Amino acid sequence: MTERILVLGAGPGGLVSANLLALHGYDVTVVEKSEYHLFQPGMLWIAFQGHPPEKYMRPVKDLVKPTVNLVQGKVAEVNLAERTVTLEDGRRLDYDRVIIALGAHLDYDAVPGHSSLVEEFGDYFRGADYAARFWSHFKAMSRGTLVIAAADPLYKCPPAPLKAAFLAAETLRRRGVKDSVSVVLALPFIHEYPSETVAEIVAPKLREAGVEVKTMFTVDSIDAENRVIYSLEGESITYDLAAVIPAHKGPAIRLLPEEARDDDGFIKVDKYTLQIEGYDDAYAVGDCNNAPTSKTGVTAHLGAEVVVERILGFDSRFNGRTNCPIVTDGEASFVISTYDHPPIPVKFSIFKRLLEDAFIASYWSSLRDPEKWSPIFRAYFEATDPSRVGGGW
Amino acid sequence: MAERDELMEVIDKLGQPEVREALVKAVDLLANLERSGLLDLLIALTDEDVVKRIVQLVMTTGTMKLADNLPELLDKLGAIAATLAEPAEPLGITGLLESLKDPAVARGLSRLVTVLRALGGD
Repeated sequence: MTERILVLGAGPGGLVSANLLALHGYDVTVVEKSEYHLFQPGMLWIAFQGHPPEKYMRPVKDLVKPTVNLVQGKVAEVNLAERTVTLEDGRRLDYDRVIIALGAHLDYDAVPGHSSLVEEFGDYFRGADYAARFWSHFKAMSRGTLVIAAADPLYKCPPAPLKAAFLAAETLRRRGVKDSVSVVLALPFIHEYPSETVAEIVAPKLREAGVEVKTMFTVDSIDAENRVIYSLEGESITYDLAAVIPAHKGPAIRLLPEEARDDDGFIKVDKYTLQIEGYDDAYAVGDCNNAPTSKTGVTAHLGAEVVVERILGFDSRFNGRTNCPIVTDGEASFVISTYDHPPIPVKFSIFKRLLEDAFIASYWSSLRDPEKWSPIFRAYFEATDPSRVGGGW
Repeated sequence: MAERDELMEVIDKLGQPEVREALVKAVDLLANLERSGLLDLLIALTDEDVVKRIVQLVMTTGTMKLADNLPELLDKLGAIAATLAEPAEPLGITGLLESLKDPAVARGLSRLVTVLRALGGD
C-alpha cells in the first residue's frame, strides 16, 4: 500500500514538503485552515509602504501539485502514539507519517493592552488585513512618534523590526514628513540586534535613516487609551502610532503526548533530523519546532528539504542555516548563521538587494516546484556557507 | 469544467492587443533563433543536468564576493581606463620612490600588497 503522509499546514515548510514528496509517489495530504497562502514578509511592505495585499497572497490550491490532496480544515488534535489527526469539525485523519508545519501561535493576550492596540492600528504580523489597517493609519501620519517594538525576544524573522523601521523611514522621507515624525525602534536586546556582529553593521544604517534606537526595552504592558508603552525594564514610551510584535508560542493545537512540547509549546525535535523526539514517523518543520535557529521561511524551506530526503532514505541533516534579509533603501544584507557558526559580518550591498528581490520573485514557484529551485538554492547556500565566506561577505 | 475555464482564460488573453503583438514578436524572435542555430544551443543549455552544472560553476563563494563588490570594482576599473588616454612618461626606480610620497600612490601600493597576499594564499 502507498505510504500515507499527512502534512499539517500550507506555509513554506508544509508546501515544500508536500510538493517534493508528491514527486516520489507518496499519498500526500495537506491540511490547511486558510484558503490563501500569505508571503509573510509581504506584510512589512503592505504596512509600511502601502503595497496591495493581493500581491503577497495566492490560493493554496494553486500552490500544491495536482497529485497532492488538499483538505481545508483546522487541526484540533494530533495524537502521535495513535497516528491520528482530528480536525475542529470532527473529521479524523490517519497517517503513516506526519509532518507538522503549523507555524507559531501569536499570543496577543500575553501583554495587557496589546489586543486593543492591534485592533485599533493593525500591525505587520497578524495578517494581511491587519497590515493594510496599519498602512491606513501610517500613511495619514504627519507628526508625532511611531514606535516599533517587541513583546518578547523570540519572534519570527529576527530582523523584522529593523526592516519595519527602515521601510517606515523611507516612506516618511518620500512623503516629506521625516522631520516631524520620529521613528523609535524599541528592542528587547542589549544591541540593535541579538548578534553584536550584525548590530555593528546595522547601527550606522539606522543612524543614517534617522531611526532612534532604544535597547533593553521589552514591552510589558500597553495603555492603549493614553498611548503609552511600558517595558519590563521599567521605562515607558508615548506613541501616536505603534506596532508591537506579539509573543510567539507553539501551535495552538492539542498535541499528545504533552511531553512532545517544550514550556512555550514548541514541538521538541532533534535539531539535525527535525524528527519529533521519540517518534520516527513524525517531524516538525519551521516555526512550530524548538530547533535553536531563527524562525523564518528559509529555515522552514531548508528543513522541509531535509525531512523529505530523510523520508526518501538519505542521511540528510539540517545545519540550522539562516539567511534573514535586512533591507534598506536600495541595499540589503543577510543574517547568515548555522548551528555551528554565529552570524558572520555581511555588509549591505546592491547585489544582495538584487538577490533578495530575486528570492521574492521566485517565491511562489519555489513553493510549488521546489525541485526546480533546489540546485540553485543549494549552490547559493553552499557558496555563502559561513565556513566558506569566513571573515565575511 | 476547470480545464475548460483555464482554456477560456487563455483565449481571453489572446484577445488583448498587447498579448497578440507580443506573440507576433516572440514568433519572429523564435524564427531568428532557429535560422541562426541559437535555438538548438538554448535547448541544449536549458537541459536539466546542464543547468545544474552551470549553476555549480557560476554560483561559487568567489562569484558571490565578486558580484557583491562589483560597483567598487567597476569604479576603479573606470578610473584606471580613463588614465590610459593620458600620455605616460617613462619612470625609473628613483621616480618610483619619489612618487611614493604621494599618499594615493602609497595607498595603491598597499592595495597591491593585499592583492599579492590574496594571490599567494590558499
